[in-house]
Amino acid sequence: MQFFRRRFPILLAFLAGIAMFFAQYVPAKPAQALYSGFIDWTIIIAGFAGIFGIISLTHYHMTKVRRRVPGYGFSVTTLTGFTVMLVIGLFFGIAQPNVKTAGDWMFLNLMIPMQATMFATLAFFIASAAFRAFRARTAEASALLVAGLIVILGRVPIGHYIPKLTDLAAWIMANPSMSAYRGIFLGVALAGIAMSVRIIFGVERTYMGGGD
Amino acid sequence: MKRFLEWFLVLDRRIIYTLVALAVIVPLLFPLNLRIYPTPEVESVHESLNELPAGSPVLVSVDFDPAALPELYPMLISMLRQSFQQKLKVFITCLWPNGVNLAPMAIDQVITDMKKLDPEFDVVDGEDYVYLGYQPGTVLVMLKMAQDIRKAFPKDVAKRETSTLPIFEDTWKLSQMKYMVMIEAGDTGDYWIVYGTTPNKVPVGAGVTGVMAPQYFPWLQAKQVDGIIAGLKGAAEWEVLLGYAGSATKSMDPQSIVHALIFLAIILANIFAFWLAAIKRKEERS
Repeated sequence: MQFFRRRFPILLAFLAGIAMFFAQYVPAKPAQALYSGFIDWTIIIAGFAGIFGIISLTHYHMTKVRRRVPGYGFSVTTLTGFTVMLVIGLFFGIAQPNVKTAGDWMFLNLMIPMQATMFATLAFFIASAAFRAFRARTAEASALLVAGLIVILGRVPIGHYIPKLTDLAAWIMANPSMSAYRGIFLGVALAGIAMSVRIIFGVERTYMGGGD
Repeated sequence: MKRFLEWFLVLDRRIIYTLVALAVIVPLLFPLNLRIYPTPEVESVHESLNELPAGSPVLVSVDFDPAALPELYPMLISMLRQSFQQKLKVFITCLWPNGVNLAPMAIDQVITDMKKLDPEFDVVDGEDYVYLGYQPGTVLVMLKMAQDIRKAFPKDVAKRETSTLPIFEDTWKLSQMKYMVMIEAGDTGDYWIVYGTTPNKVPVGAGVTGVMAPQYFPWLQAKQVDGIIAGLKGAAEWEVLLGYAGSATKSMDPQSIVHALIFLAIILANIFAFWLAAIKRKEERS
């Protein structure tokens, strides 16, 4: 039992990891067929992950409703919305060019206005937060403030009416900002490689649960 | 003066919200028609598409949902407009489940608009363009598309076998695409570059939200991205290059005024904060 609970998943991860790694460098047909097969299986697994998500969401909100925890009305709304969209999507299909469906109507008249409203309110919160929090309290904060102000105005059409402002904003985006992002990307990529090696060789086991 | 400064620095948020609302509404009612100058990043995408001969296959990935619609939907419209104008073969995919209905909306809108301009304009679904819909798996879908798009998407949204569609006669894998425009509101764009376009040598233009734009500049400098259409302003620049005023162009005045308002608010808040601190220091000394 211990073998199937602990060693078998590690062995499986090792074999799958090594196989996918070498498939990148071996152009022979069997290797490529194996690579293609792995991709197919993983797409199927990704589809099943969606089903698990649905089960988890339903279970979580059903429990809240059953126990009448404060705010359970939101769970009722979530479950109702989910069920209605699921039924309409399954039985009436999604939109196609030149074809309008009930699902399309729901998307146009519910999803778009609701998500757009949520996102639009950000403009108000950001304006208020920027006014209160964007202060030159230290040298670093001052540098950020100056760069931020140049980009705020330099990246919109009104910035063209101030000489050299758009050039300055473009320089900030293409130099200091880009350099910082490149550093982050390289760090993330190296960490990703390190984590992959740890998983393949069984050093990293948190993905199996249990925290060790 | 001290009382005014203190009042200003803790200004009621409802006043700020009202000012922002006015900064949006007033320029919409009374447009300033501020001039929009296309940036080299957007010009590059437009030019690359412009250089493609008729019949070239291009890929559009619609990876956003209605939350990012105001910024990204105009890019989708411009992409389809330019592609249809140049008679390119357009393959459209969606890797975001909540965005699956956006492409049909855009296709219908562009066809209607183009027919208004030219009554003889016509594109055939499955021959001149195809909408492949949503497929789960993100990176895996890209890897599968590199092998065979028809296997990654066995059916299109109209439930037709993709292997039977005329548009797939000469084009069936990612590396055969002459250009790609990915329209992104999340990390899918990074995956496209790493797993899709770079290994398959497909030039790609990135249409992204304004807040995501800075993270695409390293890809641009490394030439892994051909151009960047950054947020609503980028979308407006593309409209200018195509010679029409769509929703992005019309939104430039309110966006400029709101940015100017935030700029002024931050400057004033900082000046007043220093001023108040100076008054307090003076009071402590005396």
